[in-house]
Amino acid sequence: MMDVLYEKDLRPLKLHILESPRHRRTIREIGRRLGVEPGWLIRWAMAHFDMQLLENLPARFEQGLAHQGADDPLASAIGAELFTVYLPFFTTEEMNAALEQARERLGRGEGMEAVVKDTLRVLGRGFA
Amino acid sequence: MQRVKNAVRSRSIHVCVVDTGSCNGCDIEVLACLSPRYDIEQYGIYVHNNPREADVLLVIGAVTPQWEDKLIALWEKIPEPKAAIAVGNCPISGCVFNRHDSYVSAPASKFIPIAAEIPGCPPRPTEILSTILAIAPLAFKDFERERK
Amino acid sequence: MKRTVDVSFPVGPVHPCWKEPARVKCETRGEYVLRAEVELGYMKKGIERIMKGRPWQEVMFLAERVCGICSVVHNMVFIETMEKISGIAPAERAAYLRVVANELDRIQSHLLANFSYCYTIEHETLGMYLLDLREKVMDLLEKLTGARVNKAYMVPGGVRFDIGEETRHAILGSIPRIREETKRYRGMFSGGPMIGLRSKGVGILSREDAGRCHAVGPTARASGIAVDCRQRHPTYMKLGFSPVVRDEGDNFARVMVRFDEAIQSLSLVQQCLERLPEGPVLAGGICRAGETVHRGEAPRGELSYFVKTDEYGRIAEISIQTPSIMNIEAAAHYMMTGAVSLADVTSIFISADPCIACTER
Repeated sequence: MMDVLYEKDLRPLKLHILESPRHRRTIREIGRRLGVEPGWLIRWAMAHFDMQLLENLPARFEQGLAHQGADDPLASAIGAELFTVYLPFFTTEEMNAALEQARERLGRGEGMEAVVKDTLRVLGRGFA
Repeated sequence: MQRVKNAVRSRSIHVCVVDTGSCNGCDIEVLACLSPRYDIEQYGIYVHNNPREADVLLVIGAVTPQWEDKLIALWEKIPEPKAAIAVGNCPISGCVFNRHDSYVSAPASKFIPIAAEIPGCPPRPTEILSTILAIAPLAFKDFERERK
Repeated sequence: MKRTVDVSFPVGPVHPCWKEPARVKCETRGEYVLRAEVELGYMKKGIERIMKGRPWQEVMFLAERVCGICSVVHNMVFIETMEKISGIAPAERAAYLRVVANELDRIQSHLLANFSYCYTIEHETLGMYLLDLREKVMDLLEKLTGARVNKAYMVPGGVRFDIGEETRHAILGSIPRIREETKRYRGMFSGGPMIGLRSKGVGILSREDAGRCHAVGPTARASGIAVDCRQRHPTYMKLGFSPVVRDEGDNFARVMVRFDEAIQSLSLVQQCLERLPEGPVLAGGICRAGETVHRGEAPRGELSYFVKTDEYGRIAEISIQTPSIMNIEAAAHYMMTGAVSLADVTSIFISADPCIACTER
C-alpha cells in the first residue's frame, strides 16, 4: 500500500480562508440571496471549490454584481451569470432549467418578486 | 581520504531553500545572493531547491500548519551530511507572527535540528552568504570519521 | 471532490523554479492540461487575526510584513487608509517622496518578476542581468529609506525622514543608466527568437476571463483591461500618469508590460525628484474612529484595505485583498486550462507574478 505523498485534509485550512471578515460578509450575502444558512454554503464550497477560488470569492462576487447585464431583468435578478460564471455554485444547465421554469411562471402572470425568490429557494435547496 | 572530502565539501555546497511561511522578504534576500553582485556561485554554493541533492537547508518562515509534517519529511529526504540554517527572525522566534491567534508554530527547531541561525528581518544577503560559508566546513568536517 | 482523470500531476510545494511554496495540481490528458487546481495553506500566518485589536502603530509594521517584495505599497496603502479615516492630509513634499519610494519599489518588483520568468524559461543570462539591475535599484531604495526590505518609511501625515540633497542627486544621477539598461534588456527580451517561442501565445488570458476573475495589475493590463489605481491617486494625477496596456494576453505580453512599466516608473521617479516641493515632510494629525475601503496600486495590481478603527486608533476589523489572489486564480483557472504542454505550467504560473505570501497573509 502506497501512501499518498503530501496529501492532507484541507478542510481546516479552507475554513481558515473563509474566516476573514470579507469572506464572512460575502458568504452571508450569498446565503441571504439563496435562502441558505451560511454554514451549509461554507460546507458545500469547501467540498467543491479549490483554495484559490475560495480566496477569490469576494472579488468574484463584486465583479459579478458589477457586470450583471441589464438586457434580461429576470436573469439578472436571479443572478444567472453571477452564480454560474462568476461563482460556480451551479452548472449552466441547472441554471437554465431554473430560468426556464421561472419564465413559465412569469408567463402565467405571477409576480416577478415572488418568482425570483422561489427560484433562488429551489436552487438553494441543493446545498442542505 | 577524509581530508579530500573535507576540502571538497567546504567548496561545493548545494542549497535547498524552503519557505515555511514568512513574509517573502527573506526569500528575495536569498534570491539576491544569486545576483552577480553577491555571486553565491563563485564560492561554490549552488541553489538548487532540490532536497535530494542538497547539503544545506535554508529554513525561512515561521512554520505554518501545512509544513509541520512536511518540514520533517523534507529534512529526512536530504542525504547525510546535512545542516539546516534558519534565515531571518521567523524560524528563530516567529518574529511578528508569533502572537495570540496566529496559525504559526515557531520556532523551526521544534521540528528539525537547526545548526545556525541568522537573525534579522530580513538579514542582508552578505550575512546569509557568510553564514553558509562558515557553517559548511564546520558541519561537514570529518563526517565519516566521527560517524564511526 | 474526487474525479477520475488520466494523470493528476502535482507541481510543488518545493519546486526549483518557485521561490515560494504552492501546489498546483494539473489534471492532464497526455501533455494537454485540462484543468488546474491550487492548493494553498503553506503560508497562512493569520496576519489579519493578529492585526485585530492592535493599535495602528503596531499594525503598520504588520501590514508591511504581508509581503516582503512589495512592502512599500502595503505600508503606503495602510497609512493612506488611516489618513482617509482620520482626515489627515500628508505634507506636500512627503506625498512626492511616497511616490518615489513606491515607484522604486515597483521597479525592483517588476525586475524580480521578470528575472523569475527568465529563470523559469531557462534564459539565465538575461535573468542574471535583470537581477544585477535590481540590486542597483535596491541601492537607491536603501539610500532613500534606509533599509532594503522592510522599510516602514511612511507614517500618517508624511514620511519618516526627509531626503537629503545628496541622495536626491544620487538617485537622479543613476536613473539614466538604469533606464538605458532596462531598455536594453527589454530589447533583448522582445527580440529573442527562443524567448518568443516559449512565451508568445502561451498562457493566454482573454479579456472576458480576466474580467470574470477580477484580474488586476500587469496581468489584466496585458489582456487589454486598462485598470490602474494610480489613475485616481492625487499625486499621480499631478504627474500625468497613464497606464501601459497591451492586448495579446500571453506570457510575453505580461513580461513586456512589466518592462514598460519599469521604464515608466523611472520617469515618474525622475519627475517627482525634479519638482520636489520644499517644506516639512510630516504633517500633524490624530488617528480616529472610522471605517473605510482604500485601494492602491501595488506592483502586482490593485490592493485594497478594508479597515475599521476605534476611537483610540486601534484596528477593530481589517481585511486585506491582495492582487495576487486574483492573479493566481486567473493563472490557475484560465491561463493553464488548455496549455498544450505541462512544461508551460511553471512559466505560466510565474508570468502572473504570483506572491503566495500576499495571497494567504
